[in-house]
Amino acid sequence: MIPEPGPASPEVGSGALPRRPRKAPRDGRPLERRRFLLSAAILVLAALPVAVDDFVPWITPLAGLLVLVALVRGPRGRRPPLALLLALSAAAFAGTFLHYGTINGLRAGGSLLLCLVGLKLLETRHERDLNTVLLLTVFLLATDLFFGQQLTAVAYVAAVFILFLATWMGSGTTSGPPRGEGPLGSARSGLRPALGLLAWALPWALALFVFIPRVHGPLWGWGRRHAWVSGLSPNLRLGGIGRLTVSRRTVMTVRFAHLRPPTDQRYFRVYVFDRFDGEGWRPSRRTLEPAPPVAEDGAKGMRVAYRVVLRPDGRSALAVLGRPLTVPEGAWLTRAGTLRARRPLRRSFHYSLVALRGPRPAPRLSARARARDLELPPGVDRRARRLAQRWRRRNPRPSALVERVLRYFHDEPFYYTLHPPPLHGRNAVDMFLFRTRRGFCTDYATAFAVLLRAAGVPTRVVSGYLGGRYDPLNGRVVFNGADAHAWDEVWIRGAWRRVDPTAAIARSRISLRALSLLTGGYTVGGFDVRESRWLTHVGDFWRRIGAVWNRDVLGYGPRLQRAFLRRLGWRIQGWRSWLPLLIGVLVVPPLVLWGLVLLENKRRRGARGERDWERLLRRLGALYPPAIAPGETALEFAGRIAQSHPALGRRLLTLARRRGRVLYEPGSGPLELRRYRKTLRALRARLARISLSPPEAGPTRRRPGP
Amino acid sequence: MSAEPTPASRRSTADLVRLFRGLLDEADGIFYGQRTVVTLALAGVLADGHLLLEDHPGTGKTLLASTLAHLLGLGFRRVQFTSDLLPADIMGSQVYDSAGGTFRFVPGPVFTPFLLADEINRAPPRTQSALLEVMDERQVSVDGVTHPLPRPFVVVATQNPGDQTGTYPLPESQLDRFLLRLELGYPDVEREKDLWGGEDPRERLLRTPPCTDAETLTAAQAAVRAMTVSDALLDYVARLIARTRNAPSLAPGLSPRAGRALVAAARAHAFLNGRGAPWPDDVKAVFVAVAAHRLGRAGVASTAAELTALLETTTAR
Repeated sequence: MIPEPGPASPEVGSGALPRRPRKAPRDGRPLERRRFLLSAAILVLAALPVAVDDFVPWITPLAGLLVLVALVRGPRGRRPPLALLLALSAAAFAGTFLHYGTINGLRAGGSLLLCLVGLKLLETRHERDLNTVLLLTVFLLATDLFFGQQLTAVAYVAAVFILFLATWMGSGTTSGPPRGEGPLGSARSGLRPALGLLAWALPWALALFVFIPRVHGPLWGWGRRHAWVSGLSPNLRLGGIGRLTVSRRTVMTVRFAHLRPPTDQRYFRVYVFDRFDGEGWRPSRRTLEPAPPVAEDGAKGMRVAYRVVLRPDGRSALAVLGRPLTVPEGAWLTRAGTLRARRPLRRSFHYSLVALRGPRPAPRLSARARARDLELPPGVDRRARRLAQRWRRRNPRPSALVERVLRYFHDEPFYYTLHPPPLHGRNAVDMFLFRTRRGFCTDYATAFAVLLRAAGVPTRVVSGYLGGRYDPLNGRVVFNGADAHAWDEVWIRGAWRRVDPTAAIARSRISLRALSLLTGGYTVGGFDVRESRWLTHVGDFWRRIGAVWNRDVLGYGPRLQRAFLRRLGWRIQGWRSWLPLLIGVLVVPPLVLWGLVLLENKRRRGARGERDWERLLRRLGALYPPAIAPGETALEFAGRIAQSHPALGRRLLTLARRRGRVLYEPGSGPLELRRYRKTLRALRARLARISLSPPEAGPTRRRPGP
Repeated sequence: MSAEPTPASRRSTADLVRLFRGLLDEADGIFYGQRTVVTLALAGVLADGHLLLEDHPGTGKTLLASTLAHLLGLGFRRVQFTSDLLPADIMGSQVYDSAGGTFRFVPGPVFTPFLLADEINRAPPRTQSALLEVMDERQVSVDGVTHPLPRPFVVVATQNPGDQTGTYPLPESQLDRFLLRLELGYPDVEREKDLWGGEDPRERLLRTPPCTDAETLTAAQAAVRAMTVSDALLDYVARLIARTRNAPSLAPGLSPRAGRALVAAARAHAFLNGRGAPWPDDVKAVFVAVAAHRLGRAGVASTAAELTALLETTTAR
């Protein structure tokens, strides 16, 4: 069919240069302010989850400031000087490196990306800069999913993505000038094609999700170090757990087989520390020696069975509640009663345990061991030692001494806070006990241990997770970073007994304000800091959907996949049984799409040939003006050219005749079409060699008419 | 070129085209330098239509009609229309046959394959409309008896645009029955000189043998009717017709029947050009001849100019 350019198409009539419009001049156009703001807004929306999740006190505000300056300045005016941009980039890199110790990894990369967003917006001036902004938007949207895959997070990313796609498709970035009016005009006009595109993509995406073999854990948690959840450190510094405890990232989930211990009894031990250097703790080699599990017969204590799923953190320490009666496969037991994996965790680790809760019997504490568990660095924390020795004289029994110390924490104005004044120097414990009196679990556990050791009672510090939140829908206790905790174990009457000095602090002195803001109401350091209970009650339905999402979508791992495929009637046995599925989702849809594209092309080929013809006419019009008039037929035009340029005119007449036969004579076969195309190509090639100079004698224009 | 011995019905379309193009060449020799007009007139005949020739006296209206009739090998009759001409004078009438004692139908001059109705606008409307009805129905009804006209049946009517006194201009509804309205105009000066000094075209015509016969013409007409038309061309025709309907000065624009006539004439023109189907070039060639008299309320000449302009601005590709 012939596309009609309209009765007085300026394109044909004005003798425009027959050159194809190039991209470069188009992209060099200055950027319209409205377009800039819309794209920038979407970019900021895409960056928001990273900024919130990966908040670094000075990098994130810097990025925010850059974005703000860029938005206020708009796409006009001079670009910031290169030196400034370079300095800002260097600052971003340096800051990231200082904060994380690396510029690699998810979180460091996230921070860098935020700075990049600000810098890019700052120097965006032209249409072609917009392409980078768009690319960055897509990249950030993908990055958002690294930081959160909960239903709300995914819904947010999907919404921003649709907005982005609609803007992109409506903006004319793909082709043509921007369409639509108003600030959201381009987004509105592009919404329908964007949704159409998604409608095409979604079924295939779904098929890929369902049928491609799944791996354990998220794909990006697979064999890549930087994607791991930060866990507890094998060393404990004063003030060290703080950063971890504000994280809400799930570190492990525990399903108890029968009885679930109460929240304040769920002390999962990860590390045991017995060497103190005045500012921090580390484990001695002795505690890390392998040891056999508890002999089942004759052991006292309450039995507890549970199954743990631990997120990988690149280390080998496992969390264990009580004294294990069995050692799971791939793990071993240390003398201190902690569990270690044989290899550092690079993917989620599952293990089931049966353990005994209660004190850890250690009837014979060798003199060497006893000495180590009493050891303090010489000459430090003298005041604390004097106090401990005074208490010891009044309370000879260790249990009474423990009571005394706990009472001290409770009665004196000790505060629990996640932002304590810094403790440093050789007398950090003295400083904490008598001066600052503000700290959190690490500080209290350390101070407690120092006091008791000074009083001659063997004491060690344990770090791990406490409490967790029971998820009734999944029947699991979920531990996140905020559940990290440190406490003490005191050797009393032939057993190590757990003492948690942090719990001794009066509730009224727990500084929660900032904390609850950050954690949204979970337990921190053993305290339930949930302030608004209504939050947990709101949207029961929503939580159920979230649970389904977590279980069936995020948790769609190898096992669920096999089960699902079996229900579809496909039994997975070896890699061969995957082949048909892989072909079905990886090969067939592209082939189908390809076929559709071919069909569409065939349908449009006529139009494309028409375009070539129009180009030829334009070229001819430029070479031998005047250009073809709207009412002039191809034959008439060819006849006119033939008057001044007989050779060319003859060729053109042949072409026009072939074209007419193809176009107007329904009986003409494919042969005629091929001939026409061939002639058209040949003539176009011939014309391309002719330089654009006016003909020696302008051809006279014949008036078309009867 | 003379008529070939093979029966017309068995000739291929290409043969027919060759034959009629030969006829055009012959007519060109007689009707000096007016090939465009002759082509259009022949196209009108091939499209099974009737022609209205309109021009000043002495431009060769009658010569054109007689040339066509002669070269087509059709019987030719001429009726000079006057103000006292009655319908029966053309159609024929029941005459009492005294020998048999019965009424007998005596066919009028209309019973001929090729009728030249000279100065049709001089006849009273009654006679005019009688003829025009016959042109459309191709049969004559007298006293309840229907007499079919011979096929082919071509009427060429002439009008003198200068004469105003004592004429009865044809109403638009009647003009619609003519497929084409042609103006002859003057030939090239060079050709005209040949005409002045050379042999009388009428004598030359008498010397020239007919090129075809009625049977061949009917076959050619069938071939023209059988020509398929492409969608692309119909789109172009639709664009043209839409523009006549949208132009205020041409209101109410071309009727569907006019559109049909346009395509039919374009077919015949394409046939004469040896094409398999009409092209926009054919439509353009016949457009003014088809459309001007159907739209010419404000004067045919200005309408023709307007239609020409319209052709120039309507995309023909």
